[in-house]
Amino acid sequence: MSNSNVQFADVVEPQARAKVAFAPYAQSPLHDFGLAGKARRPDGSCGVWMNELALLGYVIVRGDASDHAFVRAVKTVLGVSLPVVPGTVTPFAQGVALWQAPDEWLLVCARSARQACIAGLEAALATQHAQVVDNSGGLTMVYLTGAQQVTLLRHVGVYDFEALRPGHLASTVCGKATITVFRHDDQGIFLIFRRSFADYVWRLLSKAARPYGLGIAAYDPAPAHPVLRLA
Amino acid sequence: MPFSVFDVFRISFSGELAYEVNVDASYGHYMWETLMAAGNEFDITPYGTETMHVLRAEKGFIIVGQDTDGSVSPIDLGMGWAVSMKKPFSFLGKRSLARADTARGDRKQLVGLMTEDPNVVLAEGAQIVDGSAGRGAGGAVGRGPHVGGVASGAAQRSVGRVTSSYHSAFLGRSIALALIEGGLAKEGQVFHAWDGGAMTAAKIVSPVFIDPEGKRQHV
Repeated sequence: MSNSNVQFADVVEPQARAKVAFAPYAQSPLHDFGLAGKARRPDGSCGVWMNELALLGYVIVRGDASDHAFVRAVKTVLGVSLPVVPGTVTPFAQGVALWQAPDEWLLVCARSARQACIAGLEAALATQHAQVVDNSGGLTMVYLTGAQQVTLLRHVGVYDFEALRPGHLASTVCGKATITVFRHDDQGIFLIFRRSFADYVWRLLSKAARPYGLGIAAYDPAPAHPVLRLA
Repeated sequence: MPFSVFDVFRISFSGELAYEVNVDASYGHYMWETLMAAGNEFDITPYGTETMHVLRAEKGFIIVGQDTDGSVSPIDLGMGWAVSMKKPFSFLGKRSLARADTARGDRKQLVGLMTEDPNVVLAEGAQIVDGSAGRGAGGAVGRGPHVGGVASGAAQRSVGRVTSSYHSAFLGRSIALALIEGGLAKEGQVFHAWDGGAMTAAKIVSPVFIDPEGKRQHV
């Protein structure tokens, strides 16, 4: 019954102990597109400009928005109240809070601010029926600008993207993938989507942008912008 | 620490000593490269889900929905050891295991199958017909239940089906899992698998083809 050609030793004696340095690095899901090397300052040469805001922090908060203790606890950490108007976005000191559902919000912050944000919320909500979940490995964001930004999205999704106002968001589909789009101002649109769909979404957007010219954008530092300053 | 969460699970899909490592997906590439480098001295190698499925079948580990359906109980799988009957009170599901239909001795039960010809890999889904009626003058391979090679006049019916079937590179032969009526009490008996116009003789064996003592994971 056994195959004499194959034998499993019970104990494997290492001949030489492997030396593997602990030097972890993080990669964005769009790493292989080499976007940083292609980026240039947006000008009038392309109708669509976009780039990834890679490796941000994404934290899901769930709780009862009608429970004053929950609302107060979150406010002590973020400095603002979570948005309770459906489809709205509220900036806070470390980033932006996106309404997701009547009892769910998505906080976007710098990756480096993530752990403090989570620890603060967990401490403030320790005695409450609430939940704080780190989703940073599961999502990424693209910033879309240019004269044809809305036209591009209209090609790939069912939503009336021209109706998206500053401070508002919509969760919809981009081709076959779920995305959340939101505006802070009229300059551009932020797209949040899953890591597992990132390759698909980027390729779809790139292909749809071809007729208008696609530029990979290098964005200037924007210390006053609640989202761009996170990257 | 760059990882906010770094979980290691000692868990096995295939009955080997195995671990699952969970990290923030952003560090997935780093983790992969690091594990491959650290495992180099042990001839570490990646493998895919097809290999994983063969490995688990060699160990007799079921895939729910493939080797089972909603009618199969833990008892049918030879997994009665996982259902404690020592509790002083009842528990959800206990009554269902003792009903007339679930307590029958001729229920379809999980068994291993080894074909007489080790090079023949049975078709998954092949019907099992009772060997006592199927082994006529034509031997292992007949041409159908009512044509040459089958004992004359013997009406044959399906007593089960092949649920998983592979060539096992480790064993150097084919193996299969099947659900067969009263199969747990029929180890050693020869049945026939009917598929595509051919009958293939196969003996009922333990569904655990490799490492029945579990030595590989109990280290």
